[in-house]
Amino acid sequence: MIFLLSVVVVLLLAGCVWTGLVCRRLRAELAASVLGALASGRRGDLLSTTLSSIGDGVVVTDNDGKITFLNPVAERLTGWSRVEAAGRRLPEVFRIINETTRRLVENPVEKVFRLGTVVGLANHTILIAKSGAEVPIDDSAAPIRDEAGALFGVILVFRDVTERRAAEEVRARLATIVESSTDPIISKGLDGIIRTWNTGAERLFGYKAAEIVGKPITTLLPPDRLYEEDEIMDRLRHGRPDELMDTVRVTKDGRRINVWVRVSPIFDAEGTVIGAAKHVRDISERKRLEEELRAANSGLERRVAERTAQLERSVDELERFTYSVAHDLRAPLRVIHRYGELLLAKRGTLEDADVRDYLGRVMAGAKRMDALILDLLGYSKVSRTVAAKEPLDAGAVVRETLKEFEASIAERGATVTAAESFPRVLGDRVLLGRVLANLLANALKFVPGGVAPRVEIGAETVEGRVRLWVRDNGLGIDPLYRGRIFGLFERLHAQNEFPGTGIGLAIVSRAAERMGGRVDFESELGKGSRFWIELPPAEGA
Amino acid sequence: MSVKVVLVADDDEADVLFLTQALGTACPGVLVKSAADGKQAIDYLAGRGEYADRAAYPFPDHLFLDLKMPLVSGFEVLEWLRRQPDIGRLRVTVLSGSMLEADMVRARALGAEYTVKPIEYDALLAEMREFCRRHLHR
Repeated sequence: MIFLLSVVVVLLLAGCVWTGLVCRRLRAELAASVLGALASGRRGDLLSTTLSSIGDGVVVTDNDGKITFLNPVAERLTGWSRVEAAGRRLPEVFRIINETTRRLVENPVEKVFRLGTVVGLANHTILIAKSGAEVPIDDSAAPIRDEAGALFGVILVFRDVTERRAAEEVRARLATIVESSTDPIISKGLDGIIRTWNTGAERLFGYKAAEIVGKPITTLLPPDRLYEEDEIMDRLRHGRPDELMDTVRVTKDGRRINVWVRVSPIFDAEGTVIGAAKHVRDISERKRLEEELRAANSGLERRVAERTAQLERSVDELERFTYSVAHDLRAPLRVIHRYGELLLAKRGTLEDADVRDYLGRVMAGAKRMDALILDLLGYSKVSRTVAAKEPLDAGAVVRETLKEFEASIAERGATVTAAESFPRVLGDRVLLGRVLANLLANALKFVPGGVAPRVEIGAETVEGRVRLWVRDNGLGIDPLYRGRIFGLFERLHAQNEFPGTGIGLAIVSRAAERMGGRVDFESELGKGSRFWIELPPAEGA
Repeated sequence: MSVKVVLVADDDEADVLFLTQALGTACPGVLVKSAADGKQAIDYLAGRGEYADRAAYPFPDHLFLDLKMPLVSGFEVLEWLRRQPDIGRLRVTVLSGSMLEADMVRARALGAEYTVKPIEYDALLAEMREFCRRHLHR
């Protein structure tokens, strides 16, 4: 029966592995009462066997405070063997000091004698072994009484807490790290109530820990995002892994801040979720940078698109140019070459008149080639010109152009009238001059035989833009060909009717484009046309 | 079918002149008619206006077609022609100054032969002899 009892005690002591004062006292008390029972039953051998198998250090003294027993763990920790220690006073073998003050701590056995009750040791107690080695311990001491209740000894139970102390230190350090982290770290229970609140959280949200701990986490959520909390809790209850989210939270002073939140479940020892740790990071700056980046990107995309459009226009133009060269530039060369061939083949047999005719054709071909090349160069130059966009007196440009055409107007018996005043426009003086010259030349040229050209030049404002126009009484243009007349080398008439290169209106169109303007026309077949260029008005015009 | 009437659609007077002469030399007896632009060519082929008189303007057995012409281009003529159910199968040779691959591919896709106008008359004459050998004396 006694044996059974001792087994129960050992099991109890072994089971009481977690430390804590209650457990410690319980251990000592239990040990003492069992010991009392055993001692009174004079079962010394069983006693020593039992205590020897305990995982804690055990020292037993008689009622003089002299050591009667050390179990193997106590032997190891103190460095004294049972035989050596037997009969010595406790403080000799069990030297304990306060870790911080390094002063001797009161002998617990004496304390038990004095108080007659179980005593525990203060924290931070160090046992100094025989070798001088120091071991942090916790312990308790209990009186041993006989069946009559008379005190006949003390039992001291203690253990090495080196590992526990180390673990506690780590825990304390981690707590300090979390507490002092500038990244906000918050924990909450499954009830959604805030449990801990660190310095970072204080700094970000403006609440002191004392103000916010115990309040619902939803205090930090903007009204339009309250649903997030339900989702978070739902995921937590189902033990889903860490959730990372970009969201918005509200500070104490009501500011909405962009944050990144990582929610990690907190488990208890059994692995049950009991709450969540929230790691929050202010990402306002990142959001701002992202916004900037987005803006920069879209700006870049726009620029790329613009550039691409420009390049496409250039490629398109190059293709048209190549096409034109292939189709138009070689024609005069064929004429020159073939009449040359004819002259060579028939030399000596040709009439003078034929020779003159052939040579005339050769020279006409050369002249036409020259005109084509010059116009192409002119077109190319206009295409490459960086047009000025300066305030211009359109009237002055019109008058200059008319002056250039004086001879040609007189030669054709044409009447040209210009409005008395013109608005000021934004444009390039040289380019505008070329536009007007080309339009005027066409107005004078494309007139049915025997009709004297009548040309008017004027201006009007249409939808905030100045329209400079040239009206003629010429052939007019079939609406069928409206789409192609501004194209390079496009001609609506055979060479023998109205000679020309087909580049004039292409230059007009290109020049207008360079100045940020545009050209268009209205026309009635057989009655005449009105061509215009639209330009922005000069400031205050 | 031997070729008796050829229509030349070209706005370049000199080209028409040399081609007519080359055809006359290479294929004696062939009647050469001409149109000065694409619009005239279509009118001729369709027999519109003055071209309704098929005694004066007989429907051609072959069309020589320039590409770059005022008003209506050679390709527009060719596309129009291929859409015509009755005359759409007329044999066509595109005769152009252009050496652009794109032009050749497009012409062939429209069922026309393609010849680059040679700069030398003798080369043109040789082209026409070859043409007559293939189409006239078959």
